[in-house]
Amino acid sequence: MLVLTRRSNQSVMIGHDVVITILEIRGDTVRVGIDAPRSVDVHREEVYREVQKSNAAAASPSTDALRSLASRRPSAPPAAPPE
Amino acid sequence: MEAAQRRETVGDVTAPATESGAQLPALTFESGLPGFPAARHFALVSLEMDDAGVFLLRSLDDPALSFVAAAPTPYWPDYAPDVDDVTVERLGITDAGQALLLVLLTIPEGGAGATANLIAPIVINSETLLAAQVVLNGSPYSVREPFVLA
Repeated sequence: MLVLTRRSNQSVMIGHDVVITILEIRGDTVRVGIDAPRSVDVHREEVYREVQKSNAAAASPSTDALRSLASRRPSAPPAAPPE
Repeated sequence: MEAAQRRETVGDVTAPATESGAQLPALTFESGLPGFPAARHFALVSLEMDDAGVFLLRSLDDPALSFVAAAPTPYWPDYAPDVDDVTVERLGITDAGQALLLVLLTIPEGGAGATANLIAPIVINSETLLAAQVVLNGSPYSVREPFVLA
């Protein structure tokens, strides 16, 4: 990992058009401003990772899981006989 | 082989829905989904569950991949995610009426404890079928909201 030291109001450039600016440092909190082209998505890492994990857990449920979900609805008829 | 097994089981579910004619044209996710960056094209298939508003997103890039999604409004009537302007512009949405929302469901084996991801809804331009999974910033919702089929 590249490590740089920056002060308040100094910036780092990534590639030609992403600028990351240290706006404010207070205690253990740093406010960061990010200027990036619209094609670049910017996320808080922990939130993005959580969504990745959730997508992995959601991917490709089995038919049995889907059937069980349907059988749990409040209006579901009594459980269908197993096939 | 887990992947092969999944392909078969998902096929079982899609077949009846497809035959009933509820298949819609393909959605295009230009940047994939978090964790699935190469999954760009999905068929949106309505699962015939008595209008529960549940859909299968079946990947057209990877036949083993699918997601189950629900329309959030019947379940969370107040759910109104604040989709950022960049996404709205990228999807070419000019009118709120053009936008369709879905949330992805995680359905464990056995079906108990199903959850919906309200932090990262799928936003669809219903005219162009461009879609994106949007990661909301500062959302009061959770990535695992309990979900019971209506």
